[in-house]
Amino acid sequence: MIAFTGAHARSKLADGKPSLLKGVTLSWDGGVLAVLGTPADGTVALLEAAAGLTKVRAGSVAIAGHAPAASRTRIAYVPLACTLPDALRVDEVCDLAGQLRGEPAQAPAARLAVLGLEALAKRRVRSLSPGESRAVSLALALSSKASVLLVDEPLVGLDGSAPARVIEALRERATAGAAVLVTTASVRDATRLGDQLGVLTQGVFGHLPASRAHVGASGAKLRVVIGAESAPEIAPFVAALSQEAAVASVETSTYVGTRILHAAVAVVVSGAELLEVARAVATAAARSDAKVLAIESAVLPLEALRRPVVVPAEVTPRRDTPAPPAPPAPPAPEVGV
Amino acid sequence: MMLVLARVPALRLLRTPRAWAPLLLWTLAAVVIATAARSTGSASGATHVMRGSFAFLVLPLVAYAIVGAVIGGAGLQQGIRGVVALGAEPRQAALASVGVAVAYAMAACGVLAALVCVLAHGSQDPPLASDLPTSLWVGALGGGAYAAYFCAGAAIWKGKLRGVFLAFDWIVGGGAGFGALFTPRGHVLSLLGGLPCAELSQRASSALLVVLLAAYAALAVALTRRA
Repeated sequence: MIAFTGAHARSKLADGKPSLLKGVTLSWDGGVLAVLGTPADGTVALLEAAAGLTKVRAGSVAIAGHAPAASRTRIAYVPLACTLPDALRVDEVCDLAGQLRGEPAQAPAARLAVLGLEALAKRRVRSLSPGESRAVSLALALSSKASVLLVDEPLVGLDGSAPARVIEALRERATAGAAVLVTTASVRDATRLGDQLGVLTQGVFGHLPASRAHVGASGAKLRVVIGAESAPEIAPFVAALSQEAAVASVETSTYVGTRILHAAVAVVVSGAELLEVARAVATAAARSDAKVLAIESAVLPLEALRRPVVVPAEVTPRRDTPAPPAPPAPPAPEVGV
Repeated sequence: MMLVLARVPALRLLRTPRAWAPLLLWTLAAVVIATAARSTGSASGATHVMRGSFAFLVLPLVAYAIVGAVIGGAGLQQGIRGVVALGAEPRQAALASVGVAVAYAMAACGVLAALVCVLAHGSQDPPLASDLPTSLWVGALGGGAYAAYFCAGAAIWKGKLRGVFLAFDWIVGGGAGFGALFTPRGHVLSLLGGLPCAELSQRASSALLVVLLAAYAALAVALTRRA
């Protein structure tokens, strides 16, 4: 549904710097593709090119086989800095959005309910905070009939339980057949959202195996939060883990309490293979009857995932000049929890 | 679709009381000047006021203020970004904004011109029965042409050229040179009985104002193909 073929594009960021795409080729038909990178790496240009808001200088971008500008009603685009029609109330914006897309009439409250924003319906857009404005934009995109959703940093700038609702709603839309393309600089957000991952580095796109986001030089790490008053209470669980062959090390720390997890102990479990470590955790939890509250996979920092970019030489070397030796592959970084 | 899109810029002016301030200021100025002309017993007060302060100050500045209020003050691209984000085609959204600005300016400037004509009318002025519709027509046409002209300025360099266009009109538009052909001032003055603009007839100036309105509106829309 979304097809980039050798696309070169350039967008201008708010600070005047360019956001570039250099020969991006990707195809995405359904589900959530999470592209890692910063605006300077080309994430803004990627989304704006797909939305038909920036000129593709070479190559092509197609949405369902058509130019993006001709498929505007099929596309819902939510940039990081959202702009809504400032003179209207939120409910009027909801109606306007439906009319512009030629969608059947839908009550504004129903659109806003996607993210639990019904209370904002009668507010003027001008009176909304940036976070509220962004949430409304996301709700309009998620409640639209658009078959292509383009969202920049979907979980940034949201309050309270909104991120969980956004993830759920995006996944629902993807399950219903929409092609969702999200860009983010957060590896954690990308792994939470994406069916597949990609990475943009200085405008160059590459697919990223999902496991690559979790597994570094020292293998994979899982943080398991166990409901317990103190560390000694989870000794059976730790002992069971230690018997598992896939587990290389186990570290225990008291969990910084929250309103939800007020009495918990976190255990960081390391191993070579993420899936094997996860199985070991499940087995150990079942054996020791531990009360597992949450399991969180550690992710690599964005810098570690950037695809190495080979910059073409400006000057063609002489024929008799020996080719320089290939640079050594960078060492895989450590995974941090 | 255009009506749906036009609702946003139309409401932007109506729901922004702060935007009314310059409009009210220039309306008040026009009324005061016209009343002063009448109270001094000027025999051709309407002619003097219309060719003088109305054509020089009130007409362009009212149109300038209306364009600023309709597009939101920060350029045409920025002004339509909200509806484009909801799926509108940028050029359609720009056309709707320009259309609303032109319509508002035509209505406001036409009514204001008629008001000034009535208030300042003197014994040596043409009969009110013919002068009033002429003033209404010239005010409306001039206001519309100015609005399109400023919309084109608002579509360039994040709207910063709107002020430059105003200055250009003041500097070049009042003269009889070639440059005056491209700004509304010379044509408006000609239609109000002033010197012909570049030696053109009033009919030609009238037609050129319509052409300028269409050309600047088209330029503004063309410059806003991406928001």
